[in-house]
Amino acid sequence: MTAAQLLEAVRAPGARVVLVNVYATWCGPCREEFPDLVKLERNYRVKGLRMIFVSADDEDRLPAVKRFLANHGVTMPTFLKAQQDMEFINGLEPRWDGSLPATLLYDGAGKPRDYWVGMTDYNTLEQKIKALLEETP
Amino acid sequence: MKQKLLIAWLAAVAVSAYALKIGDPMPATDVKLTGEGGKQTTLAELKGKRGTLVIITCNSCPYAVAWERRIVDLGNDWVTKDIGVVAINANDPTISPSDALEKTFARAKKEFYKFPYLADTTQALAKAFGATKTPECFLFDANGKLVYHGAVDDNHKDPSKVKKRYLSDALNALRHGKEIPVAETKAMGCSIKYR
Repeated sequence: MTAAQLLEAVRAPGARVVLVNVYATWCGPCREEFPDLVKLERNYRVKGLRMIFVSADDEDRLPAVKRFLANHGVTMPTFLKAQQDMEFINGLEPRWDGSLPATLLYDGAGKPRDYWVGMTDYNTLEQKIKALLEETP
Repeated sequence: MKQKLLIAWLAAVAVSAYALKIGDPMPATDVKLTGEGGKQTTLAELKGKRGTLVIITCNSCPYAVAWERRIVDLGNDWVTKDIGVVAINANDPTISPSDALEKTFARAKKEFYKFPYLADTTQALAKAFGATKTPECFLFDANGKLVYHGAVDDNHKDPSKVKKRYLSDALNALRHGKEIPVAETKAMGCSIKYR
């Protein structure tokens, strides 16, 4: 998936809040925060949260990515980055320096609202998601 | 562990607010860096006549490992051309045990580094540079001004598929007194494990 395709998925109708998480299976902080993201998705999906997981693993690690997602019980469609790093990074969020993990929050119209570089956690994200949901009837 | 990593993240965010910009002077030139046998060195002592290349890297990040051979080859070459070259591991080894001092020095020997691979045990240098990830390259000119910041090249995975040799191009331009073709680049990397 390219940054442009990812932003299309963010802007697709039907969500009130969108969270994008760029991770890699070998990245410690990514693995550490992942259960919190999965839990958020489960708890807020019905309220309008669309979670988009994008793996930055190399293509030849696809089996490891599939195992990782299965171990976390993720069954929804997820994506693999398929673009040169700099184009992907700048296309998605020019302020992002490329450190993993990265988590980006958008409102239902696809407008960027917040982003985190490095590990984040359930409570931090939940607070922001709740605030955005309150803004969006 | 989770709390420790979260603190590391908060530190990384705080650090990124102070990221060096092109033209900025080399900071932290007096910060003591630890070498083998506990020998202390500073950037001031490592500066080269024509410029200085500082690479913030580590032993544990797959990106750093993938780029390592190219970093070592470049460093081994340019250190003979009046460019000061130093690799610096700033990861907290209590969070990332693979980045312990003895492992860092052993790696430098094993991979035939002909330039110092030192530990920033206080993390003061990495913080002053605003470094957030590994590997991250900083090239300074002879006057100590930042002229290049970013990635080694545009393909961490496969050296044979590299199309843009950002760091090498910057070093060549610096040597010949030309404008750096691309002064700032980005690539994926592992967040530095700040304590």
